[in-house]
Amino acid sequence: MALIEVDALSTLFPSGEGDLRAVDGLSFAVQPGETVAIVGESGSGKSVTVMSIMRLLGAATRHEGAVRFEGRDLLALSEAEMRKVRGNRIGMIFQEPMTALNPVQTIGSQIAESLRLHRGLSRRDSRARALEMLSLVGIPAPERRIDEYPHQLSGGMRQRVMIAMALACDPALLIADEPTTALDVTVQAQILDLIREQARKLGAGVILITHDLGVVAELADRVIVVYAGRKVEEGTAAEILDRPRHPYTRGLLEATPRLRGGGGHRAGRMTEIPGNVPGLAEILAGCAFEPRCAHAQPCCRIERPPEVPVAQDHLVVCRRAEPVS
Amino acid sequence: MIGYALRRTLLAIPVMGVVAVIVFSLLYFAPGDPALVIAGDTASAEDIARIRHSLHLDQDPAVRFASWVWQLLHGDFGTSIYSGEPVLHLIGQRAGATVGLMLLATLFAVTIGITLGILAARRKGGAWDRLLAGYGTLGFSLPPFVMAYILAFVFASTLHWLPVQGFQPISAGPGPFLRTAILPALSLGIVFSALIANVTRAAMIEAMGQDYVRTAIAKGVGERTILFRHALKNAAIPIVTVIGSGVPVLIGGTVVVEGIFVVPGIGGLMVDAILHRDYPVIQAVVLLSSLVYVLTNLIIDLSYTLLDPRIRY
Ligand SMILES: Nc1ncnc2c1ncn2[C@@H]1O[C@H](COP(=O)(O)OP(=O)(O)OP(=O)(O)O)[C@@H](O)[C@H]1O
Ligand SMILES: [Mg+2]
Repeated sequence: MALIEVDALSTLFPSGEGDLRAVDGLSFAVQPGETVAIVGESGSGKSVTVMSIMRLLGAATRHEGAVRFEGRDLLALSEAEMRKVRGNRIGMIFQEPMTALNPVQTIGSQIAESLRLHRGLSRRDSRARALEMLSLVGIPAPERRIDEYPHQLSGGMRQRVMIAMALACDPALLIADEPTTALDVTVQAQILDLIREQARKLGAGVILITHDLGVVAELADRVIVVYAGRKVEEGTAAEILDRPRHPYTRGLLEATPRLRGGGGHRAGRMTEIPGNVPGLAEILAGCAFEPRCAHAQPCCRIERPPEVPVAQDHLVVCRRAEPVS
Repeated sequence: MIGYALRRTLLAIPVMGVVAVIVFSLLYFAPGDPALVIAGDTASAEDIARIRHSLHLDQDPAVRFASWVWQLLHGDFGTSIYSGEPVLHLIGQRAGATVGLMLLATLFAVTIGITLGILAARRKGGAWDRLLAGYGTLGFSLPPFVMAYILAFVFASTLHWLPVQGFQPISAGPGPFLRTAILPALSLGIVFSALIANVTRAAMIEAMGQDYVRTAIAKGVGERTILFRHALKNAAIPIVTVIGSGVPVLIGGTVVVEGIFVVPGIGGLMVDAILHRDYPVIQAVVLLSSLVYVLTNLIIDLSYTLLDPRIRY
């Protein structure tokens, strides 16, 4: 059974010009122990998707669809029940380690907080466990570091602290929203290794958001390619990277040439496809990528494209793809 | 930290020195010959000479200043010209009422201000936020003496809940003190609380929008803990700063409010002293108020390093 199943999720931000649909009928699942990457250009709704799963978007936001996790629909839980899921069953790592930690609390107390909250540990036990977590994520001299404040740590160290916080309660699912984008290139690989290693040890599923196809190649079992809040292609990492079918996915891959050449993991940002992501207020009857697509046909504009299985573990949401026989 | 505290404390000394010079020269720059004013129209030439002598106006100012400071450093604030009593004794008799009043007003302003600010920040445009907007407008547009008359009219004259006069010091017990001090303390504290509430609201809204608050929510932390443990501590510096800056406002307001509610405090002493040109008393009160102000600022400065670990000197 899937660890988490996102079923036709839509996220709507009410606004003056009607609802802004940042996520539009997105479906995917993560199996236990599996790492699923969500990739797409900036503004395609990756962060909003995971924030919706965690219900971090504020009271005005509306959701449609369901997020089934451990037998319950997270979107239907009460706020109090949802709090027991956050930080406990689902851990989250954010992009900016510089601002995501509280500047006036020691890193030890920030790690210990969720342990006291979810595990009911005493002050002393939670501190002992926080110390354990710090050495687990590779912080040198943890006995000293535990009483330090975030500003005393480098960006890479802070991201390690974030990981320690997210993993402190042994979550079943780890969500990492561009965990290395803000870090030095030399540190990025270490942090990715750490996430992979710890998730494997816990047997946790991982949802990894990234701009970086090098990261996908290295870490992901499966890939969801999103565009304008919709899924356009899904498949195993090998399928997507080696045999991309959707014109958008191909564009993304062509925009990161070094990946194909092998060797370089440091892929560029995916902003090189001509044209722009449509505004959220635009109503798109057909394929969202149609205005930028070199292969578009008149029918693409009129009707939403179907999900077409093109290989085992590979489907593409495009009218122009030929299905497997 | 200790080094900084020491340096910062030493820095307060020249500030107090400048204050002392200004206070001292009051005697020389005030319009009219103080001796003539004090002596009155019917005084003889000998009377005036005697007063000049008792004010040491017949001495060289520099010499006089040096010996004045020397006496101050030994705790000698001189003798009241009007009553003939030692100034320190006069102040000691009346300081309790004023300090009690100011502490009560501060306690009230800090509690109401921070609570209202947090409640308003929780939901922008919500009921509490609108209440604060109204409260702030009222608080800022009514000077303390108007506030005092309104409160006295409503709670004393109309409802008869509290007395207008007959102030009881803390030494008379907390009950009588609170009964008689609450209206003057409210009159003093409402503007102050509105000030604190507005700053708290802004600082809390800013803090609640920060990434670390989102991190805390993602950890499963509840709203109350987020407000108090995560946001309030980050918002503390502007709040503490505004509390400190309100102290001189309180000192000024207390003169007026003490008059209205007939509180036997420093305010009344000061007003009498000014009317009688009782320079030693005036100088002592101004000096001590400045000292309170300088010390408050010192404490606030030092508290920054405790509130924010990023601040190190
Ligand atoms: N609270 C909000 N209210 C209105 N619109 C929002 C809100 N949050 C996000 N959006 C919009 O939703 C869209 C998707 O944003 P999202 O942050 O998910 O993109 P992303 O794929 O994570 O991009 P990036 O790679 O730059 O992080 C954007 O157009 C963004 O402007
Ligand atoms: Mg994002």
